[in-house]
Amino acid sequence: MENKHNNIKDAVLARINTGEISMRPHVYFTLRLCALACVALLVLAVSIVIFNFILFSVHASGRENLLMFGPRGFASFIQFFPWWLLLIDALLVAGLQYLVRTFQFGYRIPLLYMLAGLLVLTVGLGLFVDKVTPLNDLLEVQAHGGHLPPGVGNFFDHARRPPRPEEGVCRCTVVSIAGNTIVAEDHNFGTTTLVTIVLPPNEAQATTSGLRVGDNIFVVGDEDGGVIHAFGVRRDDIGNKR
Amino acid sequence: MDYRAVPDEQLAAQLQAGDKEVFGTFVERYEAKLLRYGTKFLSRTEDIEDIVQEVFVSAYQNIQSFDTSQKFSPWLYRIAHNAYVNALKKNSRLPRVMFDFDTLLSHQAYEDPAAAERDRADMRVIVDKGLEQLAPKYREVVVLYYLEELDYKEIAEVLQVPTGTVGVRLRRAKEALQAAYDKLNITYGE
Repeated sequence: MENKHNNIKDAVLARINTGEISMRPHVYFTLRLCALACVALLVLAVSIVIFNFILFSVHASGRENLLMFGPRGFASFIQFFPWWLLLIDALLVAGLQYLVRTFQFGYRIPLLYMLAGLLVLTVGLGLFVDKVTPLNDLLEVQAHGGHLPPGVGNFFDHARRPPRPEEGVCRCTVVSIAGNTIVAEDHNFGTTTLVTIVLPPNEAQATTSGLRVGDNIFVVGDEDGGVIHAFGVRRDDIGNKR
Repeated sequence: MDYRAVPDEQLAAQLQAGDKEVFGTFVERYEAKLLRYGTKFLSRTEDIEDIVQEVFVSAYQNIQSFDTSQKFSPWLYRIAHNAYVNALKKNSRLPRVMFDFDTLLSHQAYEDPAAAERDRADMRVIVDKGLEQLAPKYREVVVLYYLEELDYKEIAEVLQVPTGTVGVRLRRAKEALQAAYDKLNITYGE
């Protein structure tokens, strides 16, 4: 056994003395640590921007109104929510926790706590960027001007567009009101389309009360032959500001 | 020069400063330990010397990344752990899991030094008999704690898991060992 040990020692020292192996310089490890930190920060930034965009697109397209229309509105919200973006964001957070665990402090934190912490960080900063900073408005203006890279540009260029009227959702302007029927103009997708909206007789969330010609409204219902049988109508404040 | 009384961390600082001669002392101090760790963890004796040699090569190449204010042994065992895990993966004896459920939550880990010493003395005698019955992640923590005598914090550094996870794995390993002994009709803990 002693002989075997000497073999290991002799072999390693021989490789060192002949120059076959050499020490990596300290700067190599410093640069690697910096590169890792940069990648981690970049992943964090991208995940924050994506979450911020999810929030922005939900309220800019008026889809948050769906949450005011009871269980059916909630079901529609679930249907139209950009789940695939949320999935990408979740994958980025999972990748981020993997990167953070490579740092000395990272592995000491239990996985669940770290994931929870990173989620709170991403959601919190995403909310902050969306509600407090003008980043989304700036990016939207840049996107409209075609100044953003194609992928990002398309996202922000189309953020305000709700689903098509064929899907039972309309963000439009009231042209006329007669009884429980509204005729409205839909200006989305580069064309103006007249949409007929029929409201149910006794539905608190779908009434013409308080609506006037020229109002921007957000409507959700069942589409049938170009007519939307609405279960939810709401004045669209964001639309009115446009 | 006689380096026998010089602590590892001081030797590492000398090595970082360019004194290549001291590396032989590291090999002398740790080769038997790493051979034993590898033999027990991998449950085999073939190729262990080659792997241990590569562990020392890797330690030499990466010595500038070692922080001399920290303990040296967990740093070296960490390199060995990676080499042994790679050897297990190469032989497809290690499940490829994305994450370990043991690291999911925080666990309390309290180490009573007196009880630990009694426990170690008992376990050292019998641990060999059932070691192969354990999954690698439990086998490794048993080897590091009972045979290599690292404490929870050092093992946590080697395995890069929270300290509480070390306690959980050790408890589960002892339960699994007990079950293995019962099955083999071996008296446990006496």
